[in-house]
Amino acid sequence: MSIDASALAQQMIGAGAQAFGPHWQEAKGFAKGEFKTLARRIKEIGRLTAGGLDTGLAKTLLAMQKNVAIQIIAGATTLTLLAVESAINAVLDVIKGAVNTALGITLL
Amino acid sequence: MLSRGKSILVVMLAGTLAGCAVQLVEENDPRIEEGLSEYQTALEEFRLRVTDAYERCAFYRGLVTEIERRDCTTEPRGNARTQCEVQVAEDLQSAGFNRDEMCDSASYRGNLDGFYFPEEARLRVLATRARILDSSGACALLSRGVARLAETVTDETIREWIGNFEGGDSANCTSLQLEQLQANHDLLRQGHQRLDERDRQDGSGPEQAKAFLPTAYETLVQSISIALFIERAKRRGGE
Repeated sequence: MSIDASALAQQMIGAGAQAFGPHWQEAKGFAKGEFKTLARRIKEIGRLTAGGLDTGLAKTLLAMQKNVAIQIIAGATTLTLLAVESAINAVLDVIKGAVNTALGITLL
Repeated sequence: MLSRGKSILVVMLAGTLAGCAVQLVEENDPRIEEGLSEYQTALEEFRLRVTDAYERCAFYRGLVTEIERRDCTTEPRGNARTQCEVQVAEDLQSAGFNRDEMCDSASYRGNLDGFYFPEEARLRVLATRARILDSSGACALLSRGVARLAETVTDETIREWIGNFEGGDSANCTSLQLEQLQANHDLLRQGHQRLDERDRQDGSGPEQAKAFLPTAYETLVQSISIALFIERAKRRGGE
């Protein structure tokens, strides 16, 4: 199993950018770093397998990487939703301020 | 003064806004953060203990082989050689080498009660806690992200395992994080079982462990770090 870690990381990062569309910016820093670590480890598993690591153990290690990939995407989802939530609440705050100012009292 | 129409609109808007801020992601849970840190401590202890035990087990085996080869092969086969080997074993034991103790504390069986069972229970409790805190939640973008990843990555093995993923719509993102960590803990357990099998087959347990355990450990550390990072990101307003 010969794997180009850099190309693999780029593919994973590209997939994230496509899936998250305009919200990718919120999760980009986090996902990029984690995908790069993941890609390096997948390459390392390839090296260990070539060096005599038991096939069953190599499969176990790869299955663990799949779970990490899902964690990265779930994490990116959370960060994106947090950013959207923060944006919505910032807009609501502006509306609140405008309403309270218009009424001359703290209604909201 | 506001007109009557505007006043009604303001009151309606107030009704909509008065409740509280919009929340799209479940609350930060300090118990989950604590639980993850405790799990990491247990994992570190496990790694140090087991790595040391495998090294000592391999050292002992090498030593026995060496002493046997040096001291006993010159003896004629039969009682004399057996006596020689018994003497070697006794000498090693009296010098503080206990094969069973060293190799057993490295084995999967030797770590069930001290690590695998209690830590599996801990992770299960944390995942259940996350599910209960937001039982109606969904990690909506997850399926889309995984599907896109499966389309984009060119490596066949990786495409296959990503492509088989199902889920994301049935649980909130926090419980999904914890379930994946739990799954990785279980895979470490399965890998350790396989190490025992290899050891029984050809005595290669310590050698295989040297390759498997550091990578499995690093993977679990990344799993924990991601879950912790995301949990901390949920502390709104820098709590």
